[in-house]
Amino acid sequence: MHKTSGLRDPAAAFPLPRRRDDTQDRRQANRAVAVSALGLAATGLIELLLAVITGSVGLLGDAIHNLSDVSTSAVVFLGFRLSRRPPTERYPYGLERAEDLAGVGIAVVIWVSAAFAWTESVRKFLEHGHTAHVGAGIVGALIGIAGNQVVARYKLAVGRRIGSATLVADARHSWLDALSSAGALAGLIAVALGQPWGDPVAGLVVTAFICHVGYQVTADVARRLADGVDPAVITTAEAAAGSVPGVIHAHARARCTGRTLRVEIEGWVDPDLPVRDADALGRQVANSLARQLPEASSLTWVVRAGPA
Amino acid sequence: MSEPDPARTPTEHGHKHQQGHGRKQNGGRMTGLRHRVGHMLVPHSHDTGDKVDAAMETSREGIRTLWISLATLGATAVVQAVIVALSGSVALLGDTIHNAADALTAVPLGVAFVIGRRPATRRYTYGYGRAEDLAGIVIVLVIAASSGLAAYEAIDRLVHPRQVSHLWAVALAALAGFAGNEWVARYRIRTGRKIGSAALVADGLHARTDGFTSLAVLLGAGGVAAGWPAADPVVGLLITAAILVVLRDAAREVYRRLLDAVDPALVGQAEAALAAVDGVRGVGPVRMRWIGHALRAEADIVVDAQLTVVQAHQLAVAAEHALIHAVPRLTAATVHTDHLAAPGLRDPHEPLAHHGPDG
Repeated sequence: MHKTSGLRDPAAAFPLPRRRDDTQDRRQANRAVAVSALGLAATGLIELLLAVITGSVGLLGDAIHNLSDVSTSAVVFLGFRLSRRPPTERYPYGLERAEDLAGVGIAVVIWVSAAFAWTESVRKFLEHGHTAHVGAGIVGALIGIAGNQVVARYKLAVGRRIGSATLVADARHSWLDALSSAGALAGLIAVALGQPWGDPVAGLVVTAFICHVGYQVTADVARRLADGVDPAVITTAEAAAGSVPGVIHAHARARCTGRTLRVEIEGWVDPDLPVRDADALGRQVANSLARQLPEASSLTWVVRAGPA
Repeated sequence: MSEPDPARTPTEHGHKHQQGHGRKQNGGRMTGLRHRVGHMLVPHSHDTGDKVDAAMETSREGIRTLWISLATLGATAVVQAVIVALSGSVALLGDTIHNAADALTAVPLGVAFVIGRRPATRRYTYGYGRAEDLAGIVIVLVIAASSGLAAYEAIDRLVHPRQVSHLWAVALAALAGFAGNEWVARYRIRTGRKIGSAALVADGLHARTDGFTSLAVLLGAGGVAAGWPAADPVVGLLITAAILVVLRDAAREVYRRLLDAVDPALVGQAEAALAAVDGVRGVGPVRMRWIGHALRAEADIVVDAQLTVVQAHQLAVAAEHALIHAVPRLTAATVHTDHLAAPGLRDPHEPLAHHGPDG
């Protein structure tokens, strides 16, 4: 009777091979995300300051919107740090889900700030609030547009260079975010032209942008915490296992803990096969999975006796 | 489970317990529901409804106690709310919010149970049981919001003092709050002792402390009657503090669930149970996590390399069976069979294979 360490990942019996060394690319992507987040944070804080000085609710909403985007990047970095912590007896899957939990906190903050921006806009609209230093406000909105544009171009350049679809999609998102700043700008220009209602209306429009981010974050975090995955992942995993000669049928389950995609595959094999051969099949399944589903980072292989 | 049936469908483990403990027959509607919930959550689950440890989880009496006490608390809160509107007492408002939050926690749980009944899909491959844990987040947020509201009202009243009217009604409402909570406490503790549920007894003790916060409102009303108007908001703040204590406990519970935490003692129990199975040569890593109110395990057992897949599978099933009996509320386990060969080497045991017990 031997007893192995209780903390080893059951999947470690079948280490998933890395398809290619992408550490360099990954480091560049991480740096791009970090630099963009810092740039957006600076943009958001300048806008927030100018919003307080001018009393513009459109600018306030846009600042909150930019800072919401930054906070989601911050969660990703928190996840990177926490996923390095080893599992413990109480937390046998490690602390990666702290990232999802932080996501819950971010979602709450975004919804509360959306409610705040909405209340402020409505109040200003009803009370015909005054906007001071309209020129400074316009500068703030322009900074918002410029900040988002610069970040979008930077992400697009890095994303194209290293071939990261995520980064390119992220760049498109930043480009759309510039529209929100443009909304704030339009409101302030209306105020400058003698239409004081322009700013609160812009505030309401920008609030819609904040709600959009809030909805995305909430839906994503709820799906992760409820162990939801894209059905395509299951289909791909089953196809990858089924393509290994000797596997008669495969049934897969998967869930995400933080950024780790954990796959469990039950494979039905010839009932008379010796265990060691069935285990060797598991190794082939691991290779096949790594080829067809590179994002999978943990595999549990379970052998079932199939029809002879 | 002597011979696995090759014709079974991939999603049916085909290994059903026939535990005739006889409790299932008089289990009633809620038990049946929980039972089905448990079964549908995990397609590979064993039929363990009867075994699932005593307590309120499966007991019709425990569930009924829970619902009746929640209804009682809800009614108490409604009566108190009317008197809050009448009198303007913020201490009573705090107590009302507290009782309402206690009662309302049943709503997200109920929704979660309805969602949790759905079978596993290709998007949610472990079923919808975690909806219960997401409901926990909503409950924590509701409690947090209610403590914030109670604190805001009490501080506002301290800064802008206002006369509390209808003191006799406030006193009556406070007594009603105390009576409602105390009745619920006694009912829960009595049922809990009868059916052996520690959870229900603990819940009863919680209700009893809640009854004492209601009595604090009486104290506040007495202070106002004696000519110290600040007594009402001060008691309101004290009640806020009581809500915060409940909030801390609830948040910690939900936080652990969401991080896949499990009591290490349960893992030890599982390892011991696996090691005791005949034919298991060693026990590898064992991991467990909660999905709603059911536990799910992943385990490695080490078996002889020359066994056939059928024999290894029988061992895996025996191991899963042992786990289900050893660990309360465990409903399913994924058991991976490792063999004695060192990983990486093709076949270190081959020269010995024909000398094995089956050779």
